[in-house]
Amino acid sequence: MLATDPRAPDRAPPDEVVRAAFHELHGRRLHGFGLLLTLGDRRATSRLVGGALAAGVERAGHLRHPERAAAWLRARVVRDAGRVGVARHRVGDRTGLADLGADAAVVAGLAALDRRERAAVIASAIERLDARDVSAIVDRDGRSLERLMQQARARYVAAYDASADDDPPIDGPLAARLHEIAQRAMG
Amino acid sequence: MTELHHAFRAWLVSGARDALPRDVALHASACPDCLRAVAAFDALGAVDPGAAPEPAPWAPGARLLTPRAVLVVRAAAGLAAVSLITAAGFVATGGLLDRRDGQLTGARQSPQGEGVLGNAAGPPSPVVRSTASGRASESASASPHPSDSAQPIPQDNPPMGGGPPPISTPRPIATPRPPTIGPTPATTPRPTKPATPTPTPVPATPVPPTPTPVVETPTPAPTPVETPIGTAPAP
Repeated sequence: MLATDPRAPDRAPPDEVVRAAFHELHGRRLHGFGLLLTLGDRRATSRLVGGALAAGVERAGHLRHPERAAAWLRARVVRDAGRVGVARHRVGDRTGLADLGADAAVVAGLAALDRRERAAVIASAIERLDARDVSAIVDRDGRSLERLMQQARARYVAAYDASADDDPPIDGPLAARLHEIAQRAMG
Repeated sequence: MTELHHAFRAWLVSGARDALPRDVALHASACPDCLRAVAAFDALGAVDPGAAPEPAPWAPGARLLTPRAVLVVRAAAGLAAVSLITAAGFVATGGLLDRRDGQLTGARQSPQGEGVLGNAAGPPSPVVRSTASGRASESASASPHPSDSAQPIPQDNPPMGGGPPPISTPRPIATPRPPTIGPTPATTPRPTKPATPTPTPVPATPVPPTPTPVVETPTPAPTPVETPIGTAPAP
């Protein structure tokens, strides 16, 4: 104990407090990330997220920054999902995914991706994490990460397009930005 | 037209970070396909992972099983099940075989007691009858000859253990037991056995000798003949 933190050995919070804080800070969003990554497989998500949180509590001293901790936890979930062998394209509980706001077309788009691509899309487009965190989550960087991201987006759009309704709602922030640029160009 | 279409797709796929050219923006705002692609990414933005429920509590010592570990566990469970079934099969078949052996061994043991009863029943084995009848006369005359009663039994054993016929003989002997007990009191060599306990225990304790004849009264009839002999020295 003195070797790890000689300055404040007595101020180290007990494990239960650290665990509760970790669950409070990261639990829900990490669970949502896991549900999206496993396409609604609640059982696998519970195991993956629980294992990541337990490992994160053990390294709480090194995971003080919340976003780095979030990236580390997600990277752990992605890695363990590969080890456990989460079903690649099989969609689990759709209602659980719908509760997160993922409609059928989104699920179809995510289901078309492999584990790393899916993790990259979730972390960047859904959770809007920093590129450095996405790099840590998918364990890629530089050109490799860029290629992975482009491929994931292209495949996602193609699968979404094949599965979406005839008139999907076009009222999101990207659509608003596009219309704004177009109006500026016209006017 | 298609160039604008591809340019917009490339802009989207690259992350929509760079500035969008005006002509591409004008095309995309009126192109249904490009708008569907925009809707695809806007749909992603509508997903909220924070709406997920709290994760289930996790046991600190628990670990995830890798696919290989799962395979190993399943293979071990399968092997255990197969070996258990095989062992159960061996036990079942072995039990049947042992039962045959037991019948054979039972055929060896039973002649000691049942051979005599079988003699009383008579019809199945005339050879035994001849020995038993001679022995009955001996037992009637000279009861203290347990050695004589033991001698003929080994003589019976060799033919009984020899082959299949002995297997069939003990079974019929076993069934007629109840009827033979009644009618054949005189032939029983058991009087010889009670004869041996009666001399020793009766003088020692007067109480135990009384139960012993009571126990043996159902099987041999001649015991009542000897009980008065045993009771006589007690007073």
